[in-house]
Amino acid sequence: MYEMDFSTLLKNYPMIIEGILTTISVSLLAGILAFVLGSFFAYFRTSPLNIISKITNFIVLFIRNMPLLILIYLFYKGLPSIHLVLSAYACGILALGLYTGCYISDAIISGINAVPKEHFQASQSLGMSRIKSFIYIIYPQATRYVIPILGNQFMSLVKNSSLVSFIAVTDIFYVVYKGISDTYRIYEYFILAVVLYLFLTGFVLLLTKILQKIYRIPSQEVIV
Amino acid sequence: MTSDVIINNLPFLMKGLLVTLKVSFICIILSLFSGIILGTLRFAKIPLISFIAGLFIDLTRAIPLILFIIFVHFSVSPYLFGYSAFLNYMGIDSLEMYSAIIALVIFNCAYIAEIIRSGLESVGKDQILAAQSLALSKVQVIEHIVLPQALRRIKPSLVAQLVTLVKDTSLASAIDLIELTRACEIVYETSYHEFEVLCFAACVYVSVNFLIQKMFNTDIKC
Amino acid sequence: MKRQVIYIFLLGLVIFFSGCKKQDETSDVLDKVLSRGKLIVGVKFDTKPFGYIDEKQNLTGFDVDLAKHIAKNLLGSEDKIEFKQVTPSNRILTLNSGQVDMIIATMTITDERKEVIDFSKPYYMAGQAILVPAKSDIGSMADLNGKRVIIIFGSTAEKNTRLMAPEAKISGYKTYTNGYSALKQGRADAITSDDTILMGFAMQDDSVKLLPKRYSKEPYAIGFKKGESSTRLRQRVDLILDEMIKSGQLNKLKAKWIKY
Repeated sequence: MYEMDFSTLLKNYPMIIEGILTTISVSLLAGILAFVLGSFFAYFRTSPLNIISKITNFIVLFIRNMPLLILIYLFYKGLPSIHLVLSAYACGILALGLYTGCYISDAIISGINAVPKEHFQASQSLGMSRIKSFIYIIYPQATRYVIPILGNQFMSLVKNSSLVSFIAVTDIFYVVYKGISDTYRIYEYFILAVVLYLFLTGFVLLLTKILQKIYRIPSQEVIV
Repeated sequence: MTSDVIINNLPFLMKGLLVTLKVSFICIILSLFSGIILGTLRFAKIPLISFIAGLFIDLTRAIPLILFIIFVHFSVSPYLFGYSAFLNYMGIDSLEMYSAIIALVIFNCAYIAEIIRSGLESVGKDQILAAQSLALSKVQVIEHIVLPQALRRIKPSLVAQLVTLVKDTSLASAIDLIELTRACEIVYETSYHEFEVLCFAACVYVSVNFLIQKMFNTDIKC
Repeated sequence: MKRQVIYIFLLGLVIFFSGCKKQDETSDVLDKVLSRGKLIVGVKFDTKPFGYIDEKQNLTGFDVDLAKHIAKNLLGSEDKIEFKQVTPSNRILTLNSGQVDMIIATMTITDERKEVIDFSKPYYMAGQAILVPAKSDIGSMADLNGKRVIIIFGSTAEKNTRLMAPEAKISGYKTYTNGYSALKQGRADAITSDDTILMGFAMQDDSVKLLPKRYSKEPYAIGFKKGESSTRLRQRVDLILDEMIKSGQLNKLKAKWIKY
C-alpha cells in the first residue's frame, strides 16, 4: 500500500519556498502588466476612430483565441528566430500579461458601457479632451463596476502562471513536477500543490471582496 | 523565412489537429453531461449532496489544469487504462489520451456546473413559485420550467467554455499527447523554424475557435 | 421525454462499458509475450545513438538493436517486436501501466527507481558529462559554479552537479531537445547529462563540444514491471545478456554505435 511520506517535501523546502516566491512575483508583475495593457486596449477599442478600434479589436481577438501556451512559446522560442532573446522570466510575464490583458480589456469595456452616457457628455461640455475625460471620469468608475470580474481574471492569472514552468521558470508547478520526476512521490507533491494554489487563489478572492467593499459605488445600492 | 517546413510536415500537423479536435469533442460531450448533473445538484440545495458538489466545484476551480493533468496521468490512468473496448474502438488507445480526457472532463465538468448553476439561478424566482403553486414537484419544476430557459440563456457561456477547452488541449502536450501543440514542437525541434511553425499553430487555433463560435451563432467577441 | 433520456443514458453506459475486461494483472509477462508472439519494448525515439529515427524514417540505435536481439532469443525472429516511444518522464509509467513488456531507454539504475521497478543486469556503463558551446571557457565541473546549467527532469545528473558545483544555477527542461535548443539560444552555459546522449548532439553539431571528463558511473539496465509477474522474463533477459557478454556480441554492438 502506498505510504505517505511528507518528509521528502521537508527535505526539498528551499526549492518549494523559491517556487512560491516566483509564482507570486510572476503573477504580480504579469497582473500589473495585464491591467495596464487591458486599460490601453479598452481605450483604443472604444475609440471613435474606426480604424484604431478595428485594429485593436482584431489583435485582442487573435490573442484571446490562441492557447496561452502557444503565446508563451512564441515569446520564448519564436522571438530568438528574429534575434530577440528575452529571459524566460520576462517571456513568461509578457505573455501572461498580454493574454490576461485581453480579457481585462473586455471587462473594462463592459464597465465603460455601464457608466451613464451623461458623464461623458458632461465632461466634453467642460472642454475636456477624450483622453482626459477617459482618465479622470470614465475609467475610475468603469473599473469600480467590474472589480469582481477583474478579481476573477487575477485568479485565472495565478492559475495560468503555472504554464511558465514549461520555459524553466521555477514556480510552484515546476517544483512539483521536478519533485515527482525525482522521487515518484506523486500524492504528497500533488497535495502540496493543491494547498498552495488554494491559498493563493483564496487570497486573491479575499482581496477582491475587500476591494469591492472599499470601492463600492453608492448609487448602485439605490433600488430604482 | 521558409514555409517549406510547414508544407512538408502538413500531414503530421493535421494529424495533431485531428487529435485536438477528437479530444475536445469527446470532452465537451462528457463534461456537458456531468456538468449538467453536478450543476443541478448544487442548485437544488439538497442538504449534504449540494454541499459536497459545491466543495468539489470550488476546489477544482482553484487549481491549475496542468497540475490536474499531470496528477491524473501519473496516478490514475495506469490503473484505468484498457478497461473499455468501446473507447479503444473509438480511437482512444493511448495512455496519454486517456489521462487528457479524464482530466479535462473532470475539470470542465466543474466549470460547466457553475455556468449551469448561474443559468438556473437567473431564472426568476417567481416562475419557480408559480410552478410550485401548481403542485409540481421540485424535480418537475427544474426539468420543465427552469432548465429549458436556463439552457437558452447560457448558450454563449457554454460556447466560450468549448473554446477554452480547445485551447486547454494544448496543455496535454506536457504528457506527450501528440496534439497540435506537441506536433508543432516535434516539427520545429528538428528543423529550427520555430517562429513560422508557432505562427501557423496560432492561426490554426484561432481559425478553429472562430469557426466554433460562428457555428453556434455566437458573436465572435465573446 | 425524460424517460427517453434515461434510456439513452443507460444504453450509452452499456456500450461504454461493454467489452470491459480487467487487465491480467497476475499473469506472467513472459507467458504473455510468448502467447502474443510479439515483444513490445519501450525505447527512446529522439536520443542518438541509443534510440532515434534516422534519415530514412526508420527507428534505429543501440537500444533498438539490443531489443531486437532479445526478441530473436525469446521468440525466434528479430521481427517479432513492436516499439513504443518513451521519454524520461513517462518511461516508468508506460512500463507500470502494462503498455510495454520492458523498457530499454538509457535508464540508469538508482535506488529510487529500484523502489518502483525492477532492473536487469547492466548492459552499458555511461558517465555524466558536460556539453558546452564550442567557444566556452568552461573546462570542468568546478567551472560551473555561478554559471547556468541545464538538466533534464528525471535524469540522474542533478545530484552530482549540486555536490560538485554548489553555486551553479540549475534549470530543468522536460526533454533533451528542449534543453538543447535552450543551450543553443544562449539561455544557459552548459547541459549536463549522460555522455552518450550528449555525444549524440555533439556529433552532428559543431557549435557545441563535449567536455572529456566523466563525473559518475551510470549503469544502464533494462526496466521491468515491479513484482513477481515479470520475474521470469527478467531472469530470461539476464541470461540473454550474460550470453551476449560472453560471446562478445555486446562489445560488437558497442563498437557499432558508440564511436568514441
